[in-house]
Amino acid sequence: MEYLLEGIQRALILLFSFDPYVMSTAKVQLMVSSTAVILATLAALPLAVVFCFRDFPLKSFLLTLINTGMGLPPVVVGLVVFVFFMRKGPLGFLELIYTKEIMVIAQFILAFPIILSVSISAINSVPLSIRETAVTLGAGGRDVMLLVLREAAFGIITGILAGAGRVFAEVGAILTVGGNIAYSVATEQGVVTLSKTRTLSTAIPLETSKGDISNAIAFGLILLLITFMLNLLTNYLRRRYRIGAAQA
Amino acid sequence: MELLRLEQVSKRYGQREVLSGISLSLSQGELLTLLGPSGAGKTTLMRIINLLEHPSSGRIFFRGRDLLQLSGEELLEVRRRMVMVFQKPVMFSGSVYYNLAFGLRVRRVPEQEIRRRVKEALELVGMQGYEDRDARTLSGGEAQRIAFARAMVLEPELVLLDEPTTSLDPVMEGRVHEIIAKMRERGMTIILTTHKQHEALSLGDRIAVLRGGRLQQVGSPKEVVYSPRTRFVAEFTGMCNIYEGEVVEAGGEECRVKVGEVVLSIRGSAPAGERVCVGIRPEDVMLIRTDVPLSRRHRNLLRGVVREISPQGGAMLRLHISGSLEVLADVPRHVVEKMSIRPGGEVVYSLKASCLRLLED
Repeated sequence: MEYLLEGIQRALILLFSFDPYVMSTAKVQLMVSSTAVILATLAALPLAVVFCFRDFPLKSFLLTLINTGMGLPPVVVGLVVFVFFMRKGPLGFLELIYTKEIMVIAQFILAFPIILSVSISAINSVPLSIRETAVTLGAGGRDVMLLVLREAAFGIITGILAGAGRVFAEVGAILTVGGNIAYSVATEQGVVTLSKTRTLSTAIPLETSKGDISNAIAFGLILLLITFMLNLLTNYLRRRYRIGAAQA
Repeated sequence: MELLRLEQVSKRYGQREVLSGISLSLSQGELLTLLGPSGAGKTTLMRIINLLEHPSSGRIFFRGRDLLQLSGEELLEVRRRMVMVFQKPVMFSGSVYYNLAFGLRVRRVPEQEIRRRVKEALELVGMQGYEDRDARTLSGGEAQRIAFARAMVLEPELVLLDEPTTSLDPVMEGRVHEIIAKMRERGMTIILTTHKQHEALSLGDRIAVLRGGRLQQVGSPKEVVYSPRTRFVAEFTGMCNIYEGEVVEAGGEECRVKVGEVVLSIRGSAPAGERVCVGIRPEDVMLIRTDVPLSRRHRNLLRGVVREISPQGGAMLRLHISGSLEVLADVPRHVVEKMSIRPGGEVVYSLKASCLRLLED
């Protein structure tokens, strides 16, 4: 028990002294995961619009695929990406293996189906009467689309945050393709370990197995903080858009 | 000047024909009520006029332009001259202001003018100061009025009101009628659907009676009420005394129709031997005093026993009279009192030949 308290105490010291190792690890996590979420959102929204406003062959089949994609095991996604990008793989010439870029790719694949699927159902759940009201009030195709997106805003935001939740929490994919790499540099304060492709979520099992519980707890606390912030954001946006009650 | 003309408009959903061969024209500034029971196709017709649905066949002209031939920008331009208010209006999430401004914003009206017009429209419907209210928290009646304001703010040429008072209490209904009067003052042409005959009669310049997707009759309220063409129109506009009979004697302006044991003289012509329907409105049934000699002017004199007297609202009482014919008569209260008519008492009444109508079945 004392050991645990000491761990938390040391973790807090690491956090508030802005320990370079902890900070660089958090930074890699934030960069990789938010880039993945932003890119996945940018890719998913136009597609969601196409899915909701156009008819095309194989639409329902594609929807099934997307829904399946929501449950992909991260470690399998990591493996597949790894196989494609490894030296001897078809995309090996890009030399992306064990970089932040490939971590973004792997997490993109995890976030994209969630954001797309939740956005599609949010847009589809906007009642037809809303569209028709817009049309009778003189809206053109583009106006109607923007209005429907606005009405679906809360659902779409929920989808984006669900995607974020998934990528911030997963270990398997980024560990497999990123390699959980950190490196040491000599500075005036001595040798400092910095993260290259190590993230909060991949560092925790490593530090735990090394027996460095306080580091693991510090990482865990930051991750919790991020999750907490995501939820705060959800609630803020829910109030801001005043749609929660109608959509929930 | 003609604003809208429908030519042989029909609509089918699969095998089911919802509208068939609707031809109708509407002049500028007119208020036409579409009267009919639910399922008659009223809403579908409105949706077709508003181009929310495409007719299966037929043509629609708006100011002489064939709407079904238009597309893209041209169509949008015409569509922006009309607006429909749905039976159950939905509000966009956001403020009342956002809702009213929506149609103006898509028309690229400058924000300053939008502010002025929104304010004015809210005053017209008696909801000034509601700009910042969350539109989703309005009560049903409030939302209804905001929906009116949202349509009026666009200053449309044609307003389609789909059952605007169906779900409202009489007080709110009165308010909606006031708003409609204001729309008319502003020169808007209106089509209003309703299943309430009193509303159709009191509001409409003309009434179109719709049944099972077909127009039964189009005419002024007076024509529709006093000269219904079909039995359905007669029943739907309150002609509650309708009998089936056979023409026994055809003449020039009058014919005689045998209903049960009674032979009635009726203004109108029909070939002898034909089965017909005849009807008379309850207020046209005339009670005859028996304490003075009967005048020869009185035709179709009948005797009966008053079964029931029920108030009709206002100064009228409805008498249920049995005898050779079952008749409902609306009689002023003071007449009933003066003639000391009581349930169980005998009365003599006349069905005026000029008030009896021959009806198509």
